[in-house]
Amino acid sequence: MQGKLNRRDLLKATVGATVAASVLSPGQRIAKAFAQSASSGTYYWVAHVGPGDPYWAVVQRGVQAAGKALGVKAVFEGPSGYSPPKQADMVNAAISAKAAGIVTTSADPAVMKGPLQRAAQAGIPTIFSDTPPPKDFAAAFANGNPIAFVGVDVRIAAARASAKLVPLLPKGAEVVVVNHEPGNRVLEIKTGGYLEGIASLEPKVEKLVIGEETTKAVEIIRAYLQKNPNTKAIFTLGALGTHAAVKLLDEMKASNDKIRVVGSDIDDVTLDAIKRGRVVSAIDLQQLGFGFLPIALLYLYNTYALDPNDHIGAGGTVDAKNVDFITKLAKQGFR
Amino acid sequence: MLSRRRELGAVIAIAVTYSVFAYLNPAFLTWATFGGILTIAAEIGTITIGEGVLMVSGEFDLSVGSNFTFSAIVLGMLLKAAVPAAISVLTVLGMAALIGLLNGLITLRTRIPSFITTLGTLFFWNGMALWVTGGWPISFIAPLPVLNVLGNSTPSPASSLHVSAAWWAAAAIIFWIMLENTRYGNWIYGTGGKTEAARAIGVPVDRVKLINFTLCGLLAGLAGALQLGRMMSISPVRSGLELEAIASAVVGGVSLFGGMGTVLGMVLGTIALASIEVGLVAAGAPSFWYTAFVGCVIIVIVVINTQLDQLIFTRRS
Repeated sequence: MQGKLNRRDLLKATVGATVAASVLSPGQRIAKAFAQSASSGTYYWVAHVGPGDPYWAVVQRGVQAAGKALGVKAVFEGPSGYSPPKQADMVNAAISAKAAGIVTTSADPAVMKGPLQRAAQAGIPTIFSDTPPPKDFAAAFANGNPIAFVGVDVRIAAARASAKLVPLLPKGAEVVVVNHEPGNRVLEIKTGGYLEGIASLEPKVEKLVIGEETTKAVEIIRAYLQKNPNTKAIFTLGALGTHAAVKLLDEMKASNDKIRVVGSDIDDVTLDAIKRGRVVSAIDLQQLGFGFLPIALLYLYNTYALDPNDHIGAGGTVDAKNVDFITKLAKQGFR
Repeated sequence: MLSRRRELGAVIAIAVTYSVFAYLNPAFLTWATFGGILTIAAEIGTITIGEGVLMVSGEFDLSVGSNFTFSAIVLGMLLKAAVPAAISVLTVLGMAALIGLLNGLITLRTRIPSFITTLGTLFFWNGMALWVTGGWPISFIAPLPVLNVLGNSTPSPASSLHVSAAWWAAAAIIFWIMLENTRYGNWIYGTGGKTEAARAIGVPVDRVKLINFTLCGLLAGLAGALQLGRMMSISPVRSGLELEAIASAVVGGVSLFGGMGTVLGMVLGTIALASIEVGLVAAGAPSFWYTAFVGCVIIVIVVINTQLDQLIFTRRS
């Protein structure tokens, strides 16, 4: 397959190079566009965790939709459990497979530095998605690859979601952040965002590791609440934590105003809990776009040398005001 | 002859893997891809050698994944504290060996199955890793020379092959000599195969097991150091490498009941599973197929090995 050009490849390459040459950019870009469109390789979206998580299942759906819309092969890859090293191995495998473009995350940017440099040397364009890399790593990636970031600043998104609690909690309230995936940099940033949103309350904050198994997570939170009965709010960092918190509070028959919940990521349980008032608000990361947009941008870069060249953001909040509309979208698999 | 050819299953797995994935994507049959496979295999392969030799002597170590992570974390912390590189590496390897020794002492003194002992220490060292890091990965922005030596160096800037593969090869050669060409190697086969008979002819069975637990821990720590070197970062999250190591050893022909297995088989078994991992990505298949594939491969290989065992038994009788 590799190395053999069919008519469609040649047409793509010619159109891509011609348009780029006549309209858009200088010679280097044209050469790159020609080379990439001629590769006719696969577009890879490589995450730090697999589609077993509902959040990533929606990203995968976005990737598939982009592949279908653009008429290219686009696949989503990710290890079965959280593992940046395995993610790096998969990016390396995609480079060896002569990918047309690679999208990846910066859950652990140090791990991704080597593979992205290899991709740059191989002439494969890359895009960061999900969460931007930290500033101290930005310099390492300042050589034009990754060509863009597509995602959300989770710190801002989390701050917006938690700010909804300010009128509902007393000053100095005890709150707990439950973490199902310790070691994930993005979740720590999200935690920081939550606390920023309620900073005016000067809350007493504790962090609790609950693991990735829902039953165990419920019992860990239960034990925590027994020891800390004055807890006024639970912040969750993903659907798994929200499920555990909602299940426990329902079991305890706690009133909605006794312990408030702010969550992250959208699914049926979270949306239903928002409708019932059990969850005050949740971060809506709109991850379908994280799957779709980077593939589209890489395609445009390869075919027309269009350089996105900037931060393309997404993400919002779901609360009682828009929960019905978001529920409709979730039923269609777009959340 | 056939009793030492249990690695045949891994050879078949590699042949089938390469045929299928090369057909699906010819780029799979390149040095770049093979370099990537060897790099992936280096860390898990180093663990597999320790685990496999321990299995040949009739014991298991489920804590190798946690030992791997904890050792890498301690190495990262020492290096960040500006402790000299050689002292840091030797300290961590010593600590990893002690973790293995502890597993052996608990198992042999209390006579509880190593499966239980090391299940406990798996959780213990995982908890310690999370505790000392607070859940954060330990990362290096600029590579230190020691990290380059351990795993980050490549023959050329664009190469997918890393120096960690050389460390793995060195470990494989040393353990191959030990297992195949020394009296201690015979003791290992005797200890795992016919324990009471070995004891009767004077083989120090418990000492053999204790040494193998220690070596297993040492190699888990070395593998952790290799990954820290290659990735310049280590996460405290549980790696789950213990099951991959056991799977690689089994695919390579190591018997779950002890007494059988070769270092060559362990190496081939690791390459077979790493090839499947890379091949699925190269073919553009969803990566969650990997675990399903590995499950099928293990069953097929064990069936092949069982048939081989029956053939050997029939010929002998």
